[in-house]
Amino acid sequence: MSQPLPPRDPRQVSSSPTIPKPGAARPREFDVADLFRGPSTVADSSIPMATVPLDDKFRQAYYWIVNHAIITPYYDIEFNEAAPRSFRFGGAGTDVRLPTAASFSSFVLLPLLTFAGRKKALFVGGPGRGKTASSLLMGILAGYSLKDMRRAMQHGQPQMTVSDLLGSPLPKDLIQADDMEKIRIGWRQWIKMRVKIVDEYNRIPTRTQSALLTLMSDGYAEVLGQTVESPESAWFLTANDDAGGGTYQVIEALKDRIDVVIKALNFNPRFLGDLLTRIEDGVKPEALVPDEIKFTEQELNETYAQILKVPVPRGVRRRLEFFAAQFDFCDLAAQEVEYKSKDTIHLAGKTLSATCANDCGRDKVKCLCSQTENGLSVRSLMTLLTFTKTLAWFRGNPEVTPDDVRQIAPFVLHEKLQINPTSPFFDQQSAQIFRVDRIAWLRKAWELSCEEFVRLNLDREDPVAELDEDFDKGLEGVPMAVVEKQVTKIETHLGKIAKNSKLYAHVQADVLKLKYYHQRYSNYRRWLALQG
Amino acid sequence: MPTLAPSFTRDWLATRREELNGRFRIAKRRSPSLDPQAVLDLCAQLLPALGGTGEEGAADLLSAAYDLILLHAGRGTLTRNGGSNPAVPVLFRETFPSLRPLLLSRPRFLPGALSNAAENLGARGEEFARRIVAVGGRLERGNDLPDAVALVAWRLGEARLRVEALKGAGRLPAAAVLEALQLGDWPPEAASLAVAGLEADGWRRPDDAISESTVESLSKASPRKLEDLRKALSTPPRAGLGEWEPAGRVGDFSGFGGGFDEPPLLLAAPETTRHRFWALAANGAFRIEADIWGWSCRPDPAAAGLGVSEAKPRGIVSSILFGGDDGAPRLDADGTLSFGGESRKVAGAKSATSSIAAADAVAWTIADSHRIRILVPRTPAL
Repeated sequence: MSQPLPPRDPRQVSSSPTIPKPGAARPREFDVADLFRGPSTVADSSIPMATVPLDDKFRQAYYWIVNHAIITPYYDIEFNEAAPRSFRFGGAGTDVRLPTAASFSSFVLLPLLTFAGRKKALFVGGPGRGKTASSLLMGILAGYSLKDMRRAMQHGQPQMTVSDLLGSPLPKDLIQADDMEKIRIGWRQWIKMRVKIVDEYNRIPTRTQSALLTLMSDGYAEVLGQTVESPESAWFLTANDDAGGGTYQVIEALKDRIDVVIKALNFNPRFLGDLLTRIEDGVKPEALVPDEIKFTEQELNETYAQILKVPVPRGVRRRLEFFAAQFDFCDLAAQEVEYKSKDTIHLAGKTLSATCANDCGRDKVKCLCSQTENGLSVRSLMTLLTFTKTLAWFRGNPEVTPDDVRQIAPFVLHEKLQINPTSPFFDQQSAQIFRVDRIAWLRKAWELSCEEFVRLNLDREDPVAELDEDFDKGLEGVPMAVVEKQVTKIETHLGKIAKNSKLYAHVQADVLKLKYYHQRYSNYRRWLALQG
Repeated sequence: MPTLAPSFTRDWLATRREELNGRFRIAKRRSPSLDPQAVLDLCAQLLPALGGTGEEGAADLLSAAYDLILLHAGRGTLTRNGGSNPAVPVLFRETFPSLRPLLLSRPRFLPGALSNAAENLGARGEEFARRIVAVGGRLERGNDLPDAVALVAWRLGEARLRVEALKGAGRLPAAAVLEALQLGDWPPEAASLAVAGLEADGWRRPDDAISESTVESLSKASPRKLEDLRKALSTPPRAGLGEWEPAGRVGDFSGFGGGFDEPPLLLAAPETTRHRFWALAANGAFRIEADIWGWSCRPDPAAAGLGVSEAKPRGIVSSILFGGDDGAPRLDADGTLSFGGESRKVAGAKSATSSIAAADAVAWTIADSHRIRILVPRTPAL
């Protein structure tokens, strides 16, 4: 009954469902609003529109942005249902694949995932690549007007003070107040917004960066002892230089708070015609965002709740554990198993590259541990988990898949894992490019990790899985005989591992967990003995 | 070159010149055949009646009308002398100017919604555009217009709208309801009775459900009498099998505007009601909504997995095998209709290729027709 708007009309929103699923072919229930839908736009937010599932609404927003707002003809986040056709190009040797499932442009997808998952994104890339425009669109999707978003956007500049950023005391109170607590602060409106934009954050002076850090990491701002809380929000920062360079050095703690790095890709000149149309028609996409793809606060809260509910199945979680274990481990860092971490090396004032130059009995081309200077922080892992859930949710999948991790991990870990350029891995002819292309390197690292995981048959032969299951049931009421059995099992496992394997990174993680279980069970055994 | 007399519309066009020109350019890319002169002529012809003296909402109304002119002129559905869709010129020349006071309350929504509704009604769009003027004349608030549109569209045969349209009727003034149901000469007291009757039985016209003499007495009837009538009309019809009559023949050969490429077969869908059926034909499975005003037929791929609801053979063995009278009517393959201990032969139902019964209706198909026949109980007018 309803007819879509003609293509190229900036008011056109993709029909729902955007990803038809088998079994979902039954037409949705009748909605009287269908009568009023058609080629003519009915721009009124009070129209009784059919309820579109939130993930589908996000996909509608994605497709609207790529079709009408941002010219980004890149599908660098690839998914496949069947083997893709691939074409090899000469020169440096480039493979071009044609994805067989819905694939996405990271420059549009990642801001949307950041927006949905309330994370913090950094846009990097040269001037005029659409970093600020993309951030503004996220604000408009959150229901703010273009005027409000422009007003709320913070522009980094060398003279920016804490007051410029956060707010300033009311002049009348400054004169009349006899107590600091009585000085009221005129807080800047942007602090309370659900989408926050800081343009050219690397041009903010260091002291002001510290104030920004408090707001970003702790969710509150402080001026003259007065504080104001910021709601859970999505942050979009931009920088013209991905090294974080600019007028001021960005403080490490602030960099560390950035969850994902979004690369603004260059403009493909074959799309110059589209650009010309924009100029001739005076099109300003940010002023044309259809109401159908704007989200209410309630919808955003519901979105976040839905994302958190997306399960990470054990198979995917184990692959992630295996992958994460690779980077922090260094057998040469310490004598005790607990301290065999790259942190130990850094605390001693050394570098991984220097330590790794010594022989540890491992193949340093094959072992991922040699490739990075550092390991993954808890914050990075939490961010990675949230983004994988958000991506799976966005794709309309019931649970996270290894492909979700493969595609999202490089963007999350881009600034988190520091490459060890002296690793023999990067000396291989085919791997030299990874010293420059971090996205490809991280994707490759995930693939190598998964290959090793499969080679070791860890899906089926996980020495800790059975103990995990038993321990998850709790210790309360477990009889002494069972505890004895568990302790013996742990000791047997440890003996077997020590006999059959070197202390590889994933082995260290297993060993530490087994030691943890051993301690928990033996403490409980002592307690049971005391109870008589 | 068309000229406009000094007016709010002329000022509005002048002050928004750049923006409106930009919108024209976008429309031109969408529809390369869009003729600038034709758009200018249409603006001169149609906009002044909507701009008025610039009351609140007039600017938004002009803006919406301008976009509609661009859209329809680009598609050829509106030209200086008519257009390919007869409903569209009527909308611009009659409906919008007449309903202007209502449109001003939601100017960004109502013009586009009316235009879409007229297009969605296809061949009935022109009649819709005229009828909504009469109904709109009985409304005081623009916010009531969507409910009135739904009611008029349903009355014109958009059967899918039945439930929602009747629900919306409860929010409309009585005079508007009666006008929409084409009962404009009935007294206002009849509106809720007509709606109650249609809610209970969509196969009975209000003038079949309420006798002429009863209608005449309504303006003097006591509230209690009105309530008794409403209750009686709200009761689903019950009648002996002798009173069951053909209520409708729905669906058709696809070449005549129907949905079926070949004679359809009714499907055993548990959600079947006296107004909703599922059918299978060579071109797929369909969901059919039908009532006294019309029928609609939509593809429903998910129904393709349902089994055909076959007419059962008649006889004692069949009764044992397929069950007897279980509270629903039953149509056997020999055309015998059984219900409540009664049975009768139904003309035209012999050799039914499929049949299905709801609580108070039975439907069947035959091998040489693209239509589904429906039989329902008839009760005398009150």
